[in-house]
Amino acid sequence: MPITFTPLEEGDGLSAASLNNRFSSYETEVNGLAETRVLDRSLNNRHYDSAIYSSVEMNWNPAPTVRCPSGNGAGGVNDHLYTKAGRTISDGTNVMSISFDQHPMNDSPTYGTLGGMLVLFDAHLIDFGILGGGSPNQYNKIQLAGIWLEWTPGGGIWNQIARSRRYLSCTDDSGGFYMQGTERSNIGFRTLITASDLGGSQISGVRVFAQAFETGGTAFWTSGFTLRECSLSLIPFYAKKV
Amino acid sequence: MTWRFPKNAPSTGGIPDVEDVNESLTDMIDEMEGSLNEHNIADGAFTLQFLDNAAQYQLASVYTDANGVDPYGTAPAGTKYVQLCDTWVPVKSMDFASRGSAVWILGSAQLTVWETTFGVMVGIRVDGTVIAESILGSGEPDNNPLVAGAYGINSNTYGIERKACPAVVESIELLSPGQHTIELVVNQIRLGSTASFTTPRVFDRELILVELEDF
Repeated sequence: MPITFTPLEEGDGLSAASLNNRFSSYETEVNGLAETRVLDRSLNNRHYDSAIYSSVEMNWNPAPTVRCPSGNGAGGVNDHLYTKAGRTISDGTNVMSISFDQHPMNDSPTYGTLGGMLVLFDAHLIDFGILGGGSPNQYNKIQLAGIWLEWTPGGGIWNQIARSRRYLSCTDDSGGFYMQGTERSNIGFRTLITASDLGGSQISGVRVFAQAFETGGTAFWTSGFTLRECSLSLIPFYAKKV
Repeated sequence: MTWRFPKNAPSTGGIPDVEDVNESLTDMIDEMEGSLNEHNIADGAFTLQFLDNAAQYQLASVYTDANGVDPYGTAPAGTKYVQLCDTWVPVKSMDFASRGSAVWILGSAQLTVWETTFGVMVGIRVDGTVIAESILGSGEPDNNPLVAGAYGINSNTYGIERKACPAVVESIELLSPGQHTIELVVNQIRLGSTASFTTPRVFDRELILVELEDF
Protein backbone atom coordinates (compact mmCIF):
# COMPACT_ATOMS: atom_id res chain seq x y z
CA MET A 1 0.00 0.00 0.00
CA PRO A 2 1.55 3.34 -0.93
CA ILE A 3 2.11 5.83 1.83
CA THR A 4 0.57 9.14 0.85
CA PHE A 5 0.15 12.35 2.72
CA THR A 6 -2.54 14.84 1.97
CA PRO A 7 -1.94 18.03 3.96
CA LEU A 8 -4.82 19.16 6.04
CA GLU A 9 -6.59 22.24 4.88
CA GLU A 10 -8.35 24.93 6.79
CA GLY A 11 -11.90 23.83 7.46
CA ASP A 12 -11.12 20.08 7.57
CA GLY A 13 -12.91 18.40 10.42
CA LEU A 14 -10.49 17.38 13.18
CA SER A 15 -10.69 15.37 16.34
CA ALA A 16 -7.97 14.02 18.60
CA ALA A 17 -9.11 10.47 18.08
CA SER A 18 -9.10 10.63 14.32
CA LEU A 19 -5.70 12.31 14.20
CA ASN A 20 -4.08 9.87 16.63
CA ASN A 21 -5.51 7.06 14.60
CA ARG A 22 -3.93 8.50 11.52
CA PHE A 23 -0.58 9.01 13.25
CA SER A 24 -0.71 5.52 14.57
CA SER A 25 -0.89 3.95 11.13
CA TYR A 26 2.06 6.01 9.90
CA GLU A 27 4.05 5.25 13.00
CA THR A 28 3.60 1.55 12.42
CA GLU A 29 4.76 1.89 8.85
CA VAL A 30 7.80 3.97 9.61
CA ASN A 31 9.06 2.02 12.58
CA GLY A 32 8.73 -1.35 10.92
CA LEU A 33 9.01 -0.93 7.21
CA ALA A 34 8.40 -4.12 5.32
CA GLU A 35 10.44 -5.26 2.36
CA THR A 36 7.57 -4.24 0.10
CA ARG A 37 8.54 -0.63 0.72
CA VAL A 38 11.74 -1.13 -1.24
CA LEU A 39 11.86 -1.86 -4.95
CA ASP A 40 13.54 -5.06 -6.10
CA ARG A 41 17.28 -4.60 -6.73
CA SER A 42 17.10 -0.98 -5.63
CA LEU A 43 19.75 -1.50 -2.94
CA ASN A 44 23.41 -1.59 -3.81
CA ASN A 45 26.66 -1.66 -1.89
CA ARG A 46 26.03 1.87 -0.66
CA HIS A 47 23.05 0.61 1.28
CA TYR A 48 24.18 -2.85 2.13
CA ASP A 49 27.86 -3.05 2.87
CA SER A 50 28.24 -6.41 4.55
CA ALA A 51 25.99 -8.81 2.71
CA ILE A 52 27.42 -12.25 2.18
CA TYR A 53 25.54 -14.20 -0.35
CA SER A 54 27.91 -16.89 -1.35
CA SER A 55 28.63 -20.19 0.27
CA VAL A 56 31.52 -22.57 0.40
CA GLU A 57 31.59 -26.29 0.81
CA MET A 58 34.74 -28.21 1.36
CA ASN A 59 35.54 -31.86 1.49
CA TRP A 60 38.64 -33.51 2.69
CA ASN A 61 39.58 -37.09 2.23
CA PRO A 62 41.86 -37.95 5.13
CA ALA A 63 43.07 -41.36 4.02
CA PRO A 64 44.48 -42.96 0.90
CA THR A 65 41.39 -43.41 -1.11
CA VAL A 66 41.63 -44.09 -4.78
CA ARG A 67 43.83 -46.41 -6.66
CA CYS A 68 43.65 -45.66 -10.34
CA PRO A 69 45.48 -48.27 -12.33
CA SER A 70 44.91 -47.96 -16.04
CA GLY A 71 45.42 -51.56 -16.89
CA ASN A 72 44.15 -53.80 -19.58
CA GLY A 73 40.80 -54.35 -18.05
CA ALA A 74 41.83 -56.08 -14.88
CA GLY A 75 39.03 -56.22 -12.40
CA GLY A 76 38.63 -54.27 -9.24
CA VAL A 77 36.44 -51.50 -8.02
CA ASN A 78 38.91 -48.78 -8.78
CA ASP A 79 40.43 -50.23 -11.90
CA HIS A 80 39.93 -48.20 -15.02
CA LEU A 81 40.01 -49.06 -18.63
CA TYR A 82 41.63 -47.32 -21.48
CA THR A 83 42.58 -48.10 -25.01
CA LYS A 84 46.15 -47.28 -25.63
CA ALA A 85 45.97 -46.61 -29.33
CA GLY A 86 43.46 -43.82 -29.14
CA ARG A 87 44.01 -42.84 -25.55
CA THR A 88 40.30 -43.22 -25.10
CA ILE A 89 38.92 -42.95 -21.63
CA SER A 90 36.34 -45.52 -20.84
CA ASP A 91 36.20 -45.26 -17.10
CA GLY A 92 37.34 -43.13 -14.25
CA THR A 93 36.94 -42.56 -10.57
CA ASN A 94 34.64 -40.05 -9.00
CA VAL A 95 36.94 -38.45 -6.46
CA MET A 96 34.41 -36.25 -4.72
CA SER A 97 31.28 -34.33 -5.45
CA ILE A 98 29.03 -31.57 -4.15
CA SER A 99 25.28 -31.55 -4.67
CA PHE A 100 22.94 -28.62 -4.21
CA ASP A 101 19.55 -27.32 -5.25
CA GLN A 102 19.08 -26.86 -8.94
CA HIS A 103 20.02 -23.36 -10.09
CA PRO A 104 19.81 -21.55 -13.41
CA MET A 105 22.67 -19.28 -14.45
CA ASN A 106 22.81 -16.00 -16.25
CA ASP A 107 25.56 -13.44 -16.81
CA SER A 108 23.17 -10.83 -15.43
CA PRO A 109 21.39 -12.85 -12.79
CA THR A 110 18.08 -12.03 -11.23
CA TYR A 111 16.98 -13.32 -7.88
CA GLY A 112 17.13 -17.10 -7.78
CA THR A 113 19.69 -17.18 -10.58
CA LEU A 114 23.44 -17.48 -10.25
CA GLY A 115 26.05 -15.51 -12.17
CA GLY A 116 28.73 -18.14 -11.77
CA MET A 117 30.22 -20.92 -9.69
CA LEU A 118 33.89 -20.86 -8.87
CA VAL A 119 35.23 -24.38 -8.47
CA LEU A 120 38.58 -25.03 -6.81
CA PHE A 121 40.15 -28.46 -6.63
CA ASP A 122 43.47 -29.52 -5.18
CA ALA A 123 44.85 -32.96 -4.45
CA HIS A 124 48.00 -34.65 -3.31
CA LEU A 125 48.98 -37.88 -4.93
CA ILE A 126 51.59 -40.50 -4.17
CA ASP A 127 52.70 -43.91 -5.44
CA PHE A 128 52.64 -42.59 -8.96
CA GLY A 129 53.99 -45.00 -11.52
CA ILE A 130 53.84 -48.47 -12.87
CA LEU A 131 52.15 -50.89 -10.55
CA GLY A 132 52.77 -54.05 -12.51
CA GLY A 133 54.37 -55.27 -15.66
CA GLY A 134 57.59 -53.47 -14.96
CA SER A 135 60.15 -53.68 -12.26
CA PRO A 136 59.26 -52.26 -8.87
CA ASN A 137 59.45 -48.50 -8.62
CA GLN A 138 59.63 -48.14 -12.33
CA TYR A 139 58.36 -44.84 -13.55
CA ASN A 140 58.13 -43.33 -16.94
CA LYS A 141 57.11 -40.12 -18.58
CA ILE A 142 54.29 -41.93 -20.31
CA GLN A 143 52.32 -42.19 -17.12
CA LEU A 144 49.85 -39.43 -16.58
CA ALA A 145 47.50 -38.60 -13.77
CA GLY A 146 44.46 -36.82 -15.10
CA ILE A 147 41.63 -34.95 -13.42
CA TRP A 148 38.67 -33.01 -14.68
CA LEU A 149 35.45 -31.35 -13.62
CA GLU A 150 31.94 -32.47 -14.44
CA TRP A 151 28.60 -30.83 -13.73
CA THR A 152 25.09 -32.25 -13.66
CA PRO A 153 21.68 -30.80 -14.43
CA GLY A 154 20.27 -33.73 -12.47
CA GLY A 155 18.80 -37.02 -13.57
CA GLY A 156 22.12 -38.80 -13.57
CA ILE A 157 23.50 -36.79 -16.48
CA TRP A 158 27.08 -35.58 -16.13
CA ASN A 159 28.83 -33.21 -18.49
CA GLN A 160 32.55 -32.71 -18.65
CA ILE A 161 34.12 -29.26 -18.75
CA ALA A 162 37.05 -30.01 -21.00
CA ARG A 163 39.06 -26.90 -20.20
CA SER A 164 39.33 -28.05 -16.59
CA ARG A 165 41.33 -31.15 -17.58
CA ARG A 166 44.75 -31.24 -16.02
CA TYR A 167 47.50 -33.79 -16.38
CA LEU A 168 50.55 -34.55 -14.33
CA SER A 169 53.30 -36.69 -15.78
CA CYS A 170 55.29 -39.06 -13.70
CA THR A 171 58.57 -37.65 -14.89
CA ASP A 172 60.20 -34.90 -16.83
CA ASP A 173 60.82 -35.29 -20.54
CA SER A 174 63.94 -37.34 -19.96
CA GLY A 175 61.88 -40.06 -18.38
CA GLY A 176 63.92 -39.91 -15.24
CA PHE A 177 62.59 -41.20 -11.99
CA TYR A 178 60.69 -38.23 -10.78
CA MET A 179 58.12 -39.62 -8.42
CA GLN A 180 59.47 -42.08 -5.95
CA GLY A 181 57.39 -44.15 -3.60
CA THR A 182 55.53 -41.96 -1.20
CA GLU A 183 56.86 -38.74 -2.60
CA ARG A 184 53.97 -36.41 -3.03
CA SER A 185 52.98 -34.16 -5.81
CA ASN A 186 49.95 -32.03 -6.37
CA ILE A 187 47.38 -31.54 -9.07
CA GLY A 188 44.49 -29.14 -9.29
CA PHE A 189 42.48 -26.61 -11.25
CA ARG A 190 40.37 -23.48 -10.97
CA THR A 191 37.31 -23.12 -13.15
CA LEU A 192 34.48 -20.61 -13.25
CA ILE A 193 31.28 -22.28 -14.43
CA THR A 194 29.04 -19.75 -16.15
CA ALA A 195 25.84 -19.73 -18.16
CA SER A 196 27.72 -20.46 -21.36
CA ASP A 197 28.80 -23.81 -19.93
CA LEU A 198 25.27 -24.88 -19.11
CA GLY A 199 23.66 -24.21 -22.48
CA GLY A 200 20.38 -23.18 -20.92
CA SER A 201 20.23 -26.03 -18.42
CA GLN A 202 20.24 -25.70 -14.67
CA ILE A 203 23.02 -27.03 -12.47
CA SER A 204 22.56 -29.16 -9.38
CA GLY A 205 25.98 -30.63 -8.70
CA VAL A 206 29.64 -30.91 -9.58
CA ARG A 207 32.15 -33.70 -9.26
CA VAL A 208 35.79 -34.31 -9.96
CA PHE A 209 36.98 -37.37 -11.82
CA ALA A 210 40.44 -38.86 -11.76
CA GLN A 211 41.99 -41.16 -14.31
CA ALA A 212 45.34 -42.80 -14.81
CA PHE A 213 46.73 -42.75 -18.32
CA GLU A 214 49.51 -44.54 -20.07
CA THR A 215 50.22 -42.93 -23.37
CA GLY A 216 52.59 -44.78 -25.59
CA GLY A 217 54.36 -47.46 -23.62
CA THR A 218 55.42 -50.78 -24.93
CA ALA A 219 52.86 -52.82 -23.10
CA PHE A 220 49.64 -52.54 -21.23
CA TRP A 221 51.34 -51.88 -18.01
CA THR A 222 49.18 -51.19 -15.04
CA SER A 223 50.11 -47.78 -13.90
CA GLY A 224 48.39 -45.55 -11.43
CA PHE A 225 48.56 -43.35 -8.44
CA THR A 226 47.00 -42.92 -5.06
CA LEU A 227 45.12 -39.80 -4.22
CA ARG A 228 45.61 -38.51 -0.74
CA GLU A 229 44.24 -35.28 0.65
CA CYS A 230 41.72 -33.75 -1.70
CA SER A 231 39.80 -30.51 -1.46
CA LEU A 232 36.88 -29.55 -3.65
CA SER A 233 35.48 -26.09 -2.98
CA LEU A 234 32.51 -24.46 -4.61
CA ILE A 235 31.53 -20.82 -4.34
CA PRO A 236 28.24 -19.92 -5.99
CA PHE A 237 27.97 -16.23 -6.82
CA TYR A 238 24.88 -14.16 -7.21
CA ALA A 239 26.92 -11.68 -9.17
CA LYS A 240 27.08 -10.09 -12.57
CA LYS A 241 29.63 -11.42 -15.03
CA VAL A 242 31.16 -8.51 -16.87
CA MET B 1 18.04 11.57 10.90
CA THR B 2 16.00 10.28 13.79
CA TRP B 3 12.85 12.17 14.42
CA ARG B 4 10.15 12.22 17.03
CA PHE B 5 6.72 11.33 15.82
CA PRO B 6 4.22 12.75 16.23
CA LYS B 7 5.89 16.03 17.06
CA ASN B 8 2.74 17.77 18.25
CA ALA B 9 0.28 15.13 19.35
CA PRO B 10 -3.17 16.45 20.12
CA SER B 11 -4.24 15.78 23.66
CA THR B 12 -7.59 14.42 24.64
CA GLY B 13 -9.96 17.31 25.00
CA GLY B 14 -7.55 19.67 23.27
CA ILE B 15 -8.21 21.58 20.10
CA PRO B 16 -6.37 20.14 17.10
CA ASP B 17 -4.51 22.64 15.05
CA VAL B 18 -4.01 22.13 11.35
CA GLU B 19 -0.47 23.48 11.35
CA ASP B 20 0.56 21.17 14.21
CA VAL B 21 -0.74 18.20 12.35
CA ASN B 22 0.99 19.15 9.10
CA GLU B 23 4.26 19.80 10.91
CA SER B 24 4.25 16.32 12.43
CA LEU B 25 3.58 14.62 9.16
CA THR B 26 5.88 16.75 7.04
CA ASP B 27 8.98 15.58 8.93
CA MET B 28 8.02 11.99 8.39
CA ILE B 29 7.32 12.40 4.72
CA ASP B 30 10.63 14.21 4.24
CA GLU B 31 12.45 11.26 5.82
CA MET B 32 10.73 8.83 3.58
CA GLU B 33 11.85 10.77 0.55
CA GLY B 34 15.18 8.99 0.59
CA SER B 35 16.56 9.45 4.08
CA LEU B 36 15.48 6.25 5.74
CA ASN B 37 18.27 4.56 7.67
CA GLU B 38 18.80 1.24 9.40
CA HIS B 39 16.57 2.28 12.31
CA ASN B 40 13.63 2.41 9.96
CA ILE B 41 14.06 -1.06 8.49
CA ALA B 42 12.55 -4.13 10.10
CA ASP B 43 15.00 -6.86 11.10
CA GLY B 44 15.56 -9.33 8.30
CA ALA B 45 13.44 -7.37 5.88
CA PHE B 46 15.95 -7.50 3.06
CA THR B 47 17.01 -10.63 1.28
CA LEU B 48 19.07 -11.33 -1.81
CA GLN B 49 16.33 -10.35 -4.18
CA PHE B 50 16.69 -6.68 -3.30
CA LEU B 51 20.38 -6.51 -4.06
CA ASP B 52 21.73 -5.34 -7.33
CA ASN B 53 23.62 -8.21 -8.96
CA ALA B 54 26.81 -6.16 -8.97
CA ALA B 55 26.40 -4.94 -5.40
CA GLN B 56 29.25 -6.92 -3.91
CA TYR B 57 30.89 -9.08 -6.50
CA GLN B 58 31.54 -8.95 -10.18
CA LEU B 59 32.85 -11.89 -12.10
CA ALA B 60 35.00 -12.00 -15.19
CA SER B 61 36.74 -14.87 -16.91
CA VAL B 62 38.49 -15.73 -20.11
CA TYR B 63 39.76 -19.11 -21.15
CA THR B 64 41.22 -21.06 -23.99
CA ASP B 65 39.52 -24.38 -24.41
CA ALA B 66 42.02 -26.82 -25.81
CA ASN B 67 39.43 -29.54 -25.38
CA GLY B 68 41.31 -31.23 -22.58
CA VAL B 69 43.94 -32.70 -24.87
CA ASP B 70 46.68 -34.57 -23.09
CA PRO B 71 50.27 -33.43 -23.50
CA TYR B 72 51.06 -36.29 -25.84
CA GLY B 73 48.27 -35.46 -28.19
CA THR B 74 48.42 -33.14 -31.16
CA ALA B 75 48.74 -29.55 -30.07
CA PRO B 76 45.22 -28.13 -30.45
CA ALA B 77 44.21 -24.78 -31.83
CA GLY B 78 44.96 -22.08 -29.33
CA THR B 79 48.06 -23.76 -27.96
CA LYS B 80 50.45 -21.14 -26.72
CA TYR B 81 54.13 -21.66 -27.33
CA VAL B 82 56.37 -19.95 -24.85
CA GLN B 83 59.62 -18.93 -26.47
CA LEU B 84 62.87 -19.20 -24.63
CA CYS B 85 63.22 -15.76 -23.23
CA ASP B 86 63.90 -13.77 -20.14
CA THR B 87 60.56 -12.05 -20.21
CA TRP B 88 57.12 -13.10 -19.18
CA VAL B 89 54.83 -14.24 -21.95
CA PRO B 90 51.08 -13.71 -21.53
CA VAL B 91 49.09 -16.86 -22.19
CA LYS B 92 45.75 -15.37 -21.22
CA SER B 93 44.80 -11.77 -20.59
CA MET B 94 41.82 -9.52 -20.05
CA ASP B 95 41.08 -5.85 -19.60
CA PHE B 96 39.01 -5.21 -16.54
CA ALA B 97 37.25 -2.04 -15.41
CA SER B 98 37.64 -1.95 -11.64
CA ARG B 99 35.28 -0.08 -9.37
CA GLY B 100 38.15 0.41 -6.97
CA SER B 101 38.32 -2.62 -4.72
CA ALA B 102 40.09 -5.87 -4.04
CA VAL B 103 40.16 -8.38 -6.86
CA TRP B 104 40.73 -12.10 -6.41
CA ILE B 105 42.70 -13.24 -9.45
CA LEU B 106 42.91 -16.95 -10.23
CA GLY B 107 44.89 -18.55 -13.02
CA SER B 108 44.85 -22.20 -14.01
CA ALA B 109 46.78 -23.81 -16.85
CA GLN B 110 48.03 -27.07 -18.30
CA LEU B 111 51.73 -26.88 -19.04
CA THR B 112 53.85 -29.15 -21.14
CA VAL B 113 57.57 -28.63 -20.78
CA TRP B 114 59.40 -30.62 -23.40
CA GLU B 115 62.75 -29.76 -22.03
CA THR B 116 64.93 -31.09 -19.27
CA THR B 117 67.15 -28.14 -18.72
CA PHE B 118 64.81 -25.20 -18.88
CA GLY B 119 62.02 -24.95 -16.37
CA VAL B 120 59.21 -22.46 -16.45
CA MET B 121 57.56 -20.17 -13.96
CA VAL B 122 53.91 -19.16 -13.90
CA GLY B 123 52.53 -15.98 -12.42
CA ILE B 124 49.95 -13.22 -12.49
CA ARG B 125 50.73 -9.86 -14.03
CA VAL B 126 48.75 -6.72 -13.29
CA ASP B 127 49.28 -3.67 -15.46
CA GLY B 128 52.69 -4.88 -16.54
CA THR B 129 53.98 -5.86 -13.10
CA VAL B 130 54.33 -9.54 -12.19
CA ILE B 131 53.05 -10.17 -8.69
CA ALA B 132 56.05 -11.83 -7.04
CA GLU B 133 53.95 -13.65 -4.47
CA SER B 134 51.92 -15.31 -7.20
CA ILE B 135 54.86 -16.98 -8.93
CA LEU B 136 54.87 -20.75 -9.10
CA GLY B 137 58.13 -22.45 -9.97
CA SER B 138 61.00 -21.16 -7.88
CA GLY B 139 61.07 -17.60 -8.96
CA GLU B 140 64.09 -17.17 -6.76
CA PRO B 141 66.33 -19.97 -7.99
CA ASP B 142 69.51 -19.36 -6.04
CA ASN B 143 68.29 -21.24 -3.01
CA ASN B 144 66.49 -24.00 -4.81
CA PRO B 145 68.40 -25.47 -7.71
CA LEU B 146 67.59 -29.09 -8.31
CA VAL B 147 70.59 -31.31 -7.70
CA ALA B 148 72.10 -33.19 -10.61
CA GLY B 149 70.93 -36.75 -10.66
CA ALA B 150 68.11 -36.24 -8.25
CA TYR B 151 64.97 -37.69 -9.67
CA GLY B 152 66.73 -38.07 -12.97
CA ILE B 153 66.82 -34.38 -13.63
CA ASN B 154 69.75 -32.46 -14.95
CA SER B 155 71.46 -29.84 -12.95
CA ASN B 156 70.87 -26.18 -13.64
CA THR B 157 67.19 -26.83 -13.73
CA TYR B 158 64.80 -24.45 -12.11
CA GLY B 159 61.11 -24.00 -12.13
CA ILE B 160 58.50 -26.40 -13.41
CA GLU B 161 59.71 -28.80 -16.02
CA ARG B 162 57.67 -31.92 -15.95
CA LYS B 163 56.48 -33.41 -19.14
CA ALA B 164 52.96 -32.54 -18.05
CA CYS B 165 52.19 -30.30 -15.15
CA PRO B 166 49.12 -28.37 -14.05
CA ALA B 167 49.66 -24.93 -12.58
CA VAL B 168 47.40 -22.91 -10.32
CA VAL B 169 48.30 -19.37 -9.27
CA GLU B 170 46.29 -16.88 -7.28
CA SER B 171 46.52 -13.42 -5.84
CA ILE B 172 44.30 -10.81 -4.25
CA GLU B 173 45.14 -7.30 -5.38
CA LEU B 174 43.78 -3.89 -4.57
CA LEU B 175 42.95 -2.13 -7.80
CA SER B 176 42.32 1.54 -8.28
CA PRO B 177 39.16 2.55 -10.13
CA GLY B 178 39.50 2.32 -13.86
CA GLN B 179 40.85 0.05 -16.55
CA HIS B 180 43.43 -2.60 -15.75
CA THR B 181 45.14 -5.33 -17.69
CA ILE B 182 45.28 -8.69 -15.93
CA GLU B 183 47.36 -11.50 -17.37
CA LEU B 184 48.34 -15.07 -16.74
CA VAL B 185 52.01 -15.18 -17.67
CA VAL B 186 54.71 -17.82 -18.17
CA ASN B 187 58.45 -17.37 -18.21
CA GLN B 188 60.96 -19.94 -19.36
CA ILE B 189 64.13 -19.69 -17.36
CA ARG B 190 67.29 -19.40 -19.41
CA LEU B 191 69.98 -19.61 -16.75
CA GLY B 192 72.70 -18.81 -19.22
CA SER B 193 72.75 -22.24 -20.75
CA THR B 194 73.27 -22.56 -24.46
CA ALA B 195 71.83 -26.04 -24.66
CA SER B 196 69.19 -26.69 -27.24
CA PHE B 197 65.67 -26.44 -26.05
CA THR B 198 62.15 -27.25 -26.99
CA THR B 199 59.46 -24.67 -26.63
CA PRO B 200 57.15 -25.24 -23.68
CA ARG B 201 53.48 -25.29 -24.50
CA VAL B 202 50.42 -24.15 -22.65
CA PHE B 203 47.18 -25.94 -23.48
CA ASP B 204 43.91 -25.40 -21.59
CA ARG B 205 44.05 -22.30 -19.46
CA GLU B 206 41.69 -20.02 -17.64
CA LEU B 207 41.96 -16.62 -16.02
CA ILE B 208 39.25 -15.70 -13.50
CA LEU B 209 38.53 -12.45 -11.68
CA VAL B 210 36.25 -12.04 -8.69
CA GLU B 211 35.89 -8.40 -7.80
CA LEU B 212 35.29 -8.10 -4.07
CA GLU B 213 33.64 -4.90 -2.96
CA ASP B 214 35.22 -3.16 0.00
CA PHE B 215 34.54 -4.74 3.34
